[in-house]
Amino acid sequence: MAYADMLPMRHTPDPARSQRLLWLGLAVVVVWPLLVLAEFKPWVLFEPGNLKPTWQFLKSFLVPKFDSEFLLMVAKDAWRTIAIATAGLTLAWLLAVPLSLLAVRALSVSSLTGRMGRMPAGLRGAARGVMVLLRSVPELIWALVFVRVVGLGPTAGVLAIALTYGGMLGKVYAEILDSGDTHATHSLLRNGSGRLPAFLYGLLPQNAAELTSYTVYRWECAIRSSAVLGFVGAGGLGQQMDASMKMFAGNEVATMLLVFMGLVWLADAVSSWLRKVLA
Amino acid sequence: MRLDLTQLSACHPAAPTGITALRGITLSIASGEHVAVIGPSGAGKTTLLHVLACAIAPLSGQLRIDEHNTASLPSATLHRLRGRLVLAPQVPPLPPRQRVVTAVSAALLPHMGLWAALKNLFSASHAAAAHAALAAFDCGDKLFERVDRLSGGERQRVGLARCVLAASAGHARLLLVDEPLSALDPSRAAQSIAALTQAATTYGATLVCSLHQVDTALAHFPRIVGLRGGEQVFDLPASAVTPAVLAALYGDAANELTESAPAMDTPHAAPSPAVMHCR
Repeated sequence: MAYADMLPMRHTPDPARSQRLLWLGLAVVVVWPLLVLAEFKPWVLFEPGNLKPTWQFLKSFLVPKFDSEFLLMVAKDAWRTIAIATAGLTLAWLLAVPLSLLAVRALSVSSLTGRMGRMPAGLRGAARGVMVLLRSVPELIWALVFVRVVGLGPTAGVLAIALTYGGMLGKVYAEILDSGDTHATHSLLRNGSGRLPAFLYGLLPQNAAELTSYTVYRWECAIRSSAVLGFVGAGGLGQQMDASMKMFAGNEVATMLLVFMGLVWLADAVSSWLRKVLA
Repeated sequence: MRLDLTQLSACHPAAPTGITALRGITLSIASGEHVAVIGPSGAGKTTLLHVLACAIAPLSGQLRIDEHNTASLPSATLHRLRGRLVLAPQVPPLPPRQRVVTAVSAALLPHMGLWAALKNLFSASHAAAAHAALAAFDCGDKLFERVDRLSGGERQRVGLARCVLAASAGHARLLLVDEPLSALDPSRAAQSIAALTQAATTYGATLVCSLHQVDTALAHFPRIVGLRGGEQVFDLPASAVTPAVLAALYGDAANELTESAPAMDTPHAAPSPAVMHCR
């Protein structure tokens, strides 16, 4: 007897097959209009008319530009990018600290005995609302607004980062402070100390490492973001990159990308060193 | 401080509604008196201390501290009153990354301005007083150590030193201490409770202390209050607390009378690096 004859129900199809076919069909029906809407035509990349300029632009990347005059300018702009990120984050921090202190529930005296009072609860809600407002507008939009107001240059970038990151830092600071162990803080409040001393002696030492680590991570994000902000005229390395891109100077873009990678690597190293120190 | 409780009932804030941890407690404690509260686990000892510390508002009945009826005090006055008592919870409220000197001097926060609090955080301005308080518990050498380098027993003694510092500065007129010996071996326990009662006597503070170790309570406190199931079973001078009285108090929980307190003295682990959140 042949092996196949030993199998029962030789011609019965897989019962799962029809269901799988249905899902496959549905996926095509759903995804196809999305692809059309997104003008998804990857083959235009390989049309001979497009291939040549693409190839030339990419080839110009291969040899980064390294003459001293250009390098000096890139170094200046890299330094300016760091300055924009740092100044923006400092302003954001100044904005975030009071807002998060207002929003933190762990520092409520009225909720020590039962429910939080209506006034303090309203105040905390208002602080959270302000932070939602600040961070729900992307920094790119803020930058476009500020370029109109204060003109082209780093000031617009600094202000844009300050507003968006102020909202982000404040929200996450409040979350970190509320999610940690509040035993020490509540004990201080119960023994009659004020909110700010209870924060300084209870909540802050409990969470300082996490807060610092998050702030450094945001600094790293601000460096990356300030490069993007440069494209809308908010100064720094991004503005130079935009100019070089428009002139199809691939070698200049390549140099700046390398410098940029260096910056991100540097921020990463600082952050991991800090986290080890803070252990 | 003088304490008067009349027909007081209270429930623990974490407990589901309807479960009262204390029922109909009527008790008067004269200024400068030393009282030990004993009873099986779940008797309401901790809730009683929290009520006395104005950390839990009573459900019904009245609590008078000196001449104030605590229920009718405006919240600012109530918070000032909290500054004149110390509630030492069973788990010492010490942030792990804080130094011992800072943690102990946090006892003085209710009477320290914000600027003085910041200055003390930067460089300890009450080191001598903190050292004296620590020395009473044989922990003087830990003054500048970090809290997470201490063992469980050492942390508990640091918590008691904080309590003593508040009394010695003359701010705290009422010491409410919850299970101060739960992490200590018998000889340390005897020494610590002696130091605590000695400090309360020296500075004329009222001392209410919940204890698991009945022998220690009988040896060091002139007056014993027995709680069981949220009700006051007896209020007797220590000499009148006979084995029969104790057997009636503990009932079928009699094994708690003989077994030693659970050890919390675990060796500390190495600190882990700070968490990094990317949100």
